[in-house]
Amino acid sequence: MNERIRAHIEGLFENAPKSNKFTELKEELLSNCNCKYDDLVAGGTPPDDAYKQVIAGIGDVSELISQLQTGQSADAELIEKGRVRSALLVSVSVGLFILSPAVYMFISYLLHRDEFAILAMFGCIAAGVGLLIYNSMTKVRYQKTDDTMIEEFREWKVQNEQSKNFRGLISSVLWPLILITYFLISFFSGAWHITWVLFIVGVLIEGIIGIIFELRKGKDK
Amino acid sequence: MSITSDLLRGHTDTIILKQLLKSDSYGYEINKSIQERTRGRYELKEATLYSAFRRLEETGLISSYWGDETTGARRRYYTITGSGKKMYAKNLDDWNEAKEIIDELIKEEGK
Repeated sequence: MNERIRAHIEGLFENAPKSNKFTELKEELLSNCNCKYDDLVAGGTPPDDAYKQVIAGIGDVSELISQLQTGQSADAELIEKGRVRSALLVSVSVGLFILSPAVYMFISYLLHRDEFAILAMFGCIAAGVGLLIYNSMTKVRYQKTDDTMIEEFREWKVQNEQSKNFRGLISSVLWPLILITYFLISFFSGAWHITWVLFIVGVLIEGIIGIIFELRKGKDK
Repeated sequence: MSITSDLLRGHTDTIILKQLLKSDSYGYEINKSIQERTRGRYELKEATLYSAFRRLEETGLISSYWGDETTGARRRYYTITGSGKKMYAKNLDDWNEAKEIIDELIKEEGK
């Protein structure tokens, strides 16, 4: 491996984004240039001339980099669209969670049939959970197919490591707290038939916290 | 000379597809065989070559994979796809037709 060639190519990529696309391009260029250099030297060209010939043969890399970057801005648009869509999915599912007790009360009041009411309520919750799962699964797919998305994700991860830790802390405190409240209220009031609603409230609180963080992230951007 | 290189540049994609028709290959090898076939009269710039690779790969005419060299740097190999072969055949037909037309139009009469 020729160090001068490596240094020259590293210089060409100095201002390129640090994404997979460009790392791979750099590696490809490096390996081909070294191949050419070795070939020329083996064919009797003096090393200095071989180096010059290899460098002259590279051509305008900055144009190639900007060409690849315009492709990237289209990806950014796609990411933005995905973000909006995922925010919508999360809000709809949280809305379903919030509505589910209302659905229960409404149906039990209207039909006086608790089993239908409970069924309808769980239906709402199931739909909400389904939407959340669908949201996270489609998100993963984006990251896998698109290396710029991975880059974006990495950046986001670093930036939000702190807020993420904080968020994890909140939910790790939230659930034991809910459990304790559940037992306390149930034992004192004896209203076991309704106190389980607390767990739904817990899901709700977690969802709301999630949305707050999501919104804050959007603002920071 | 500048007309020649402009003309040639318009056919970079076809030239690369033709090189891959024989077997999978990597950047330097493709450029080297272009140089050999033209006896040193034509050589692609690396930047031109890679921008063509990316373009061809995006449109699904070629695909790429990293080789597993045990010594030295990894090589990125390219392989022609089915639609790449079709595109090559079409481009070749187009070129033959264009060549005929241009010959008819710019050759001196009676020669």
